[in-house]
Amino acid sequence: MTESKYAELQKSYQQELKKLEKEEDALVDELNNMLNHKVFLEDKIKGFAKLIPTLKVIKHEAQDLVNTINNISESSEKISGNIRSLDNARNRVDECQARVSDLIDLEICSQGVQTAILDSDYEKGAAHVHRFLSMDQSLLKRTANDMDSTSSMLKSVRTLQDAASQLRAIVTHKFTEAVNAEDLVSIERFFKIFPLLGLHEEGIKEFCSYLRSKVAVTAEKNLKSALNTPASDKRHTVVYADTLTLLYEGLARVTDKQQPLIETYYGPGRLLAAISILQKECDVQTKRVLLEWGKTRQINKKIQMINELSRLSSSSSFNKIDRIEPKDLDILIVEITLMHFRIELYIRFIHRKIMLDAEVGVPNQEDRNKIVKSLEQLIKNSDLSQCKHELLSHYLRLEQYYMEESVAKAVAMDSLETGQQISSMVDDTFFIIRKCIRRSISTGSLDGICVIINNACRVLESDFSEVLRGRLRQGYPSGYLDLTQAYNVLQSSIQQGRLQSSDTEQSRMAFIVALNNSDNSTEYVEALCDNVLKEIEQALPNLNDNDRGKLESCLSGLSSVTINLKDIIDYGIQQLRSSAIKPRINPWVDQFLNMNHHLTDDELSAYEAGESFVQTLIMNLETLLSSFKDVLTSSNYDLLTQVLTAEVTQRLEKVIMKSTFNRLGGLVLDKEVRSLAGYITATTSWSVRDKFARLTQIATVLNLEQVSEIYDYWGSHDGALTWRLTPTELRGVIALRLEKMSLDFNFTASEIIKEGKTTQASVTELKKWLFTNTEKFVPVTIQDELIVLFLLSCDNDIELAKKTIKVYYKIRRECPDIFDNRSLERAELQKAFKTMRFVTIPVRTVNNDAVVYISLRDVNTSNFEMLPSMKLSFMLMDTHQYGNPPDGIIFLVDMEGFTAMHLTKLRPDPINKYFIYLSEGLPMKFKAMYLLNSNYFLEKLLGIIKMFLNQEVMKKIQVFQPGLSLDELAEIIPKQCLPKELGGELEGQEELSDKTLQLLRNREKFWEVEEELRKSVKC
Amino acid sequence: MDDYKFLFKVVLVGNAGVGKTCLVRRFTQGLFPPGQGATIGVDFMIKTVEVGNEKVKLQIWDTAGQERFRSITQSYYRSAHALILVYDISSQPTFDCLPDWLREIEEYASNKVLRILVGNKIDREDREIPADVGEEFAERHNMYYLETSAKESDNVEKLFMQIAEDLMKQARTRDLPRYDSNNQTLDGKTSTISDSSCCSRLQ
Repeated sequence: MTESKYAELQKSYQQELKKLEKEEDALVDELNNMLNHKVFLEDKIKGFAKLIPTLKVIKHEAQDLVNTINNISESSEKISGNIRSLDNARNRVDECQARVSDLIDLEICSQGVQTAILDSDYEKGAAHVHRFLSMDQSLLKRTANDMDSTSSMLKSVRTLQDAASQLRAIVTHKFTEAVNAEDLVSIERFFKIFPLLGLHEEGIKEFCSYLRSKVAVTAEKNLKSALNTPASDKRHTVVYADTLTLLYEGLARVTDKQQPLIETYYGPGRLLAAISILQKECDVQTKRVLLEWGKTRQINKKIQMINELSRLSSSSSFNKIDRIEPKDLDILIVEITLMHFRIELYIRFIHRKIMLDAEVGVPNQEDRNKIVKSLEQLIKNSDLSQCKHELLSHYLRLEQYYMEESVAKAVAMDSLETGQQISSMVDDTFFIIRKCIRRSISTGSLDGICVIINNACRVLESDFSEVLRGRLRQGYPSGYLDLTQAYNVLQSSIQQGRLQSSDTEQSRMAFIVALNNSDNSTEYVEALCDNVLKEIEQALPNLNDNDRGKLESCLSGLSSVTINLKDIIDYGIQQLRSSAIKPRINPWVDQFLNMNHHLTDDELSAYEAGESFVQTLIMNLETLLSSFKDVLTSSNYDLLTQVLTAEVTQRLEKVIMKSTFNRLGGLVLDKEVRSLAGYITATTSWSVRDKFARLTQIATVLNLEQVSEIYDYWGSHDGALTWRLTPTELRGVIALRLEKMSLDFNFTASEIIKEGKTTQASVTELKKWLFTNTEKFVPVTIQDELIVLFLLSCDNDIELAKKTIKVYYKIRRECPDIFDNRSLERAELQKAFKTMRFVTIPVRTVNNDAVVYISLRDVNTSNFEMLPSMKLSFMLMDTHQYGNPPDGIIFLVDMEGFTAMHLTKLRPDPINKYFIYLSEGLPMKFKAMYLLNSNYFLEKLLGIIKMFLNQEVMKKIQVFQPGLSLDELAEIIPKQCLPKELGGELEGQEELSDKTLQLLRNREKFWEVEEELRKSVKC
Repeated sequence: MDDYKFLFKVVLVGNAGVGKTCLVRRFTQGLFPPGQGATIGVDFMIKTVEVGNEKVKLQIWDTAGQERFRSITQSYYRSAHALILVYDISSQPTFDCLPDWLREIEEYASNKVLRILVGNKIDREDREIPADVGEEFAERHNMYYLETSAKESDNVEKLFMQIAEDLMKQARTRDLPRYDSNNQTLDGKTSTISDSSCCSRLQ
């Protein structure tokens, strides 16, 4: 234990020792370092020791410099002190001089003033006083205290003060005296002295009072002479306006004349004070003139009467009181506008004068604002302004009455000159309104103008427009109306008391004129707004933004009268449309229904040679339009033709949709639409392209060479039209081309749908698909019944049906030898019929399958042709799709007599197509093909066929060797479906063959149509 | 053109000194300038406000209350979309005049006009017409009622915004019967005022 402890201790000591050794090494290193530095440091110290004396010298020198600087600053301080006291001294000297000169002046003034007063040289005296007043009074007092000879100076001051008050008294007195003596020179003389005596305000007051009295006298005189103006005088009607003019002109002259005087002797900026005094007289005189005017012109009585009239006419209809003739007010209104304008002008004059004066004389912005404010107050509170407002109020009342009454009169006296499109009321009304607005402009008051514009707007919108509307409301009596309508029109016209019964011609004219009046009025309103704005801008050139806004708002109200008028025109045109256009146009256009649109080439040329539908229509339209052309204004005539066009195109569209067309019918229609559009374009100034868009498109579709060309126009590719017709409408139009050529199935789609065998939805879906399908050999539309057959053959599997339809049309297109030219008159078919027996078995199997039976009649191979036989076999199937559609089809072929030579006549390609069609394109289920009496050659044939037929189909083809017993056969096909020869219950095969021929003949029309429809598809 | 969808004319009427100008100033400029002095003729202010993200321009016509300006002010009634009839709640005479004003409105304004009765100066201590009297009067005459203070800016914004909203609603559902059912005064006579003046729509 202890040993290990010891070892531990030893270890730690050793560590410590090592550490100490390390430290020792480091210290030794450090000491060595220091020793190395010692020499260097000692060198440095020596160097410093050498520097010490130099530093001492520097210190001394610096001390010296400081002393010198101190000295300099002290001396400069002294100098500046001297200068300051020198300045002071000089100021005092100046002051002293001023005082002395004041004192001298004081002495001179005090001596001079007395003599001046004594000599009545008031100017000189006032100049002395002015000099005295311009001295600093407090300074004078101080001088007096400083001086010994106080008494003499104080005496002088006292003398001067006395003299000043003495002079003031004298001048005031003299001025009054001069005023009393009307001594103009003295008045002016003393007026100039006032400001020298410090009496600015008093001077202006006295002087202006004097001027005021002068004005009063003149005004009095003027008014008196105005009152005495004989009624015969030319100016009698505006004599009060003239009096006001004289008054304001006088005031303005005074102001203009005295302003320089005041400015020179009183300084600028004092005009407001002067004018305020004059304004008082202006107020008094204006009021007096207006009072006299009101009395003479009986203004209050007139206004009262007008108010009463307006109240009565608005509350009740009987207004038996004497109306004031608006014409009689004319002169009065002119006088008021003149008076108002004079006041307005004078106020503007004062305003301008004072503003100018303030601008020159008052540099301080704040003071100037104060002046502007008090000027505004002065004007606003003056009786003059009040009078102005009252005048405006009178004016507005009278003008309003004048406008209303005059317009009412213009309407009442409405007359039509022969050969005119509009009657007198339009010109008259707008003349009146224009006159009133112009007169309002001559008042110079924007508020007044706005009110008259507002009133004009009201009169036009209610009084004037209502008359026009009322006339249109009575309708346009048409000669083509039926009796009851005509009777009603007659009744209402008689009730309105406006029309004499039976003169429809006159009421027609009234209607047309009202329509034209409305049209003309819209133009007038627009012109009126333009002119009025221009005139106002001329008369009131400095409108601020706010006033401009006011004016524009009122004017926009006026111009919106046109909206009202356009409404009226619209209403009238609609009236015309229903009474004059529609009843006439409809029978004309309906003629279209009586035309044949399934034309042969011969019929086409005959049609083109003769008078066509459209020529007659155009002629009729021409007659109709020409009856309006001269009586309607051009823009109304345009509106009428627009309505007419809309009416014709709509109606034509309607009758087209009721008709059906063949290719040539479509061609004719297209031509007719073009010539109609051409005619209407020629008669109007606007483009009819838009109105004819639908019609043109309909005609284009019906005029297609092949219906499937529609794809060139339809869709989103280049050259596609912007269609105005919806897809449904387009389908409807296409159907018009095909409708007459329907396939006769002797059942209808709806019957089958009713039986529940298929659904309308499936039919519709297929139809939609057909319309958008892009395979060019498939037609755009297929008859519903055929679609039903396809659906039935595919057990209503839509996708399968689509495939079947495609194969059906594809194979039929590729094999015209099998599917086209199915006329029984054709030699090859007749020959085939002789060579073979083609039998439609008239009885269905229990599964509702149809059976066809084919056998060789003539085994001579040279008579056998493959293609006609194939053709006939399909024709047999078509005989089965007449009436109740069979579920499927079974082929029973007797191959007896089939030889190697027959085999050589067969070609693989048609056979291939034949079977593809049979299995994939037949609108009927292919149930089975039974080949009886097979032989070696047939087996060979089937071997070939197998190569391109699928298993599914091959299974349906069954081959039976010769020697099949009748019972065995009956197991495949029931006896009721077999001819006698094959042990069946039916007649012999020859008889059946004969009967089949008849059935085939019955289907010839069907094939013809089928072929044409199919071929309407461009391939 | 500025971009606003509706333009409405609002006309203020009422006795002199009831505070029409102050109401308008407060609304359009946010000011209450005392010592205005009487309005001369008519004043015209414009403010565009926003109602439900649509800009509505209010053309406010501030009319003079004094009798001698009546023939000026009357001519603005016809094209107004809204009429604000103002009285001073501290002045019985201004309230007593209301029937006269209504008669004038009846005579000159369109019968489709939106009418609002406003009792102004509710900041004043010396009220003479209690609120319920004003309200009752408004109800009897088929008007909106609002009390305001142009000085304290009470209800001023609300007044004009309410009008803007109502007029917009009206413009949208043209001519549907307004406010409550007991409108015996309206529709007495057929209007000759054209609809065209209502709201100028701009694109």
